[in-house]
This record gives sequence, C-alpha cells and structure tokens, in this order.
Amino acid sequence: MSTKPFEIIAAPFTAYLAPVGEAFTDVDETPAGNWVKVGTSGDKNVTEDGVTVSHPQTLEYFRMLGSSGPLKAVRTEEDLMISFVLADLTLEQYKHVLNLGTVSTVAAGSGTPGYKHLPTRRGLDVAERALLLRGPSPYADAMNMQFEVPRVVHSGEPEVVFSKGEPAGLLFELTALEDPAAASDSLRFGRIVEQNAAAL
Amino acid sequence: MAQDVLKAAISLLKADAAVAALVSARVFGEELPTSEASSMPRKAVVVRRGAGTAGLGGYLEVERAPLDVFCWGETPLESEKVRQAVHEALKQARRQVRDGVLLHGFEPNGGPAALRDPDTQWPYTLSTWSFLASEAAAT
Repeated sequence: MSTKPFEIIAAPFTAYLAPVGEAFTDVDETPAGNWVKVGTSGDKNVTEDGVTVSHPQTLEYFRMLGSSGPLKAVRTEEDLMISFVLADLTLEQYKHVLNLGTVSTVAAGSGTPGYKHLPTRRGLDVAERALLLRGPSPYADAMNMQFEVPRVVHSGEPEVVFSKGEPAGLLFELTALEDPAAASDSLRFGRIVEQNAAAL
Repeated sequence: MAQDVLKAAISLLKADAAVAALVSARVFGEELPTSEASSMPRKAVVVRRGAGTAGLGGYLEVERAPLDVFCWGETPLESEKVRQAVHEALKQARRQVRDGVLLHGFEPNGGPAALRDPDTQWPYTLSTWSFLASEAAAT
C-alpha cells in the first residue's frame, strides 16, 4: 500500500510526561492515566518553532598512515533530545522545567487572595520522567506516530522573557538517559512507533 | 499533480459547525454564484486562490500558496462574525484529507479588512491566508 502523500508531515506534535516505568500507550489510543499532557492546551501552547527531535552523536575516525581517508569510525557519544517552547506559564507546566517542584495551593481567605506557589531552586537531584511524543503517522491518514522515551531529564535553561506583544514561553529541553531495563541495547533510548494499520 | 485545494477548503469550512451555523452551506469558490444575488447581502463565504508569492519549490510534492477568504454579511458586523468563525476553523485545522486532498494546515497572512463591494455595496471582510497541501492525491 502506498504511503503517498502521508509520508510528508507538517504538523505539531504533543508531548506527554509520566513517571519513569509507566507503560507507553498504544499508538492508536489517547494517552491517559499517569500520562500528563504538556501544556494546558497541548500543541496549542507550543510556539511556532515547533518541536525539535535531535539525534546528535560524536564519531571518532581512525586514519592509517598509508591512506588519506578514514578507515574506521567509532561512535563514542550519542544523545536524544526533544525541545520546544511552551507558551504556558501555569505552575503545573512551569514545574516541569524546575525539576518537578511541588505546586502548592493556598485557598483564599477573608481579605487574603488565593494563590499557588512553586519553589524555584532545583537542587542536586535531577528528576526523571518518561516521555511520549505524539503526532500524525507518515503511513496513513488518521493514524498516529509516537516517540517513546523511557527516561528523560530536563536539561534546558529556560529564559522566560516578559515583553509586550510576545507570549512568554518556557524552554523545554528533554535529554534522554539510557534505560538499563530495556529489552535490548538499541532500545535503551526508547523507540519510534508509526502506525500503519488499524486494529482488527 | 496539483490538487483541488479550493474544493477541499470549501469542504472543510462547510463541515465546521460554527461556520455552518452562520452561513449554512453558503461556502463558495472563486465568486458568489449569480443565484445568490437576489438574497444578498447575507452571510456567506467565498474562498479564492490569491495572488502572491508561492513557496516550496523544488520537487517536493507539497504546495504552499495564498488563499483569499471573503466573509459576507448583512452588515459589516455580521460579516466580521463570519470571519471569526472561519478564522477559527482554518487556523485550528489539523492535518486531514478532504475530497482526496491532504491538507496540512492554514496560516493567517493578512487582514482582516472590512470592505464593501464597489458595485453592490454588500459588506464583506477580507482575510488572506496561506495553505500547505499535498500535490499528490491522498488515496
């Protein structure tokens, strides 16, 4: 079956976060339960720069005396990074970029306003989460694809700019950590799932 | 091969509940049909490919081109109501297949401008958009 023209994707993706170890939702179901959508309105909170998935790596090339070109390459480092800017400053979202701090609520009282608060210091321990990044499938209409990343940490350094005429945004930069419980070495950063058929 | 994006856009707008609540099935391509004249001015939408810079050259089978949207109404205020509903429908449109055309999305480019037809004085609001659509038929 031809995938044409669905192989070209020009659409925003929606990120979901959950505690490490949470089972990934089937690609044809809406993430629910412990999977929390990033952004109060999901992809409607992601700025026009979209969501970037990066696969950087470092290769070492070995050249021998008798030849000009490299004869062998060895990969010494690799990463998987997902980044986007979220125009949503609710503390329920802000906490994700501040090491999953606790959002506390103080109820309104007589003469005192109600409010929520979030600590701004991240501390020594780095919080981890599982990430599911969902978008349309390149194989067919009305189907989904998703990046399943079992362990990520927030590695970004958000600079929130408050100015007239521009929505303030939170930089989400999520870097994958290897999952030692993965079924194989190649799955230690997770996998990409692209639906190509409906359930029977 | 270029696809009938106008037909797909009309189909999308007709299927939108908020737009349909205002204009019923009166979403047309290129111009208002002659048969509408006796009932005008009333709420209606006309979509037309716009003049202007098209994007995405090369051999990629995706077209990005301008789209002009004319939102008609009994009064300038009523035409603005139609425009707001159309704006929401187009801006929030997700990737979808309409009449065999894969529509990736629409982006607002300009407007809105509240105008009147110079001959009939019927009020309308003009907004300009760009669409991203596949040039290959969606099978």
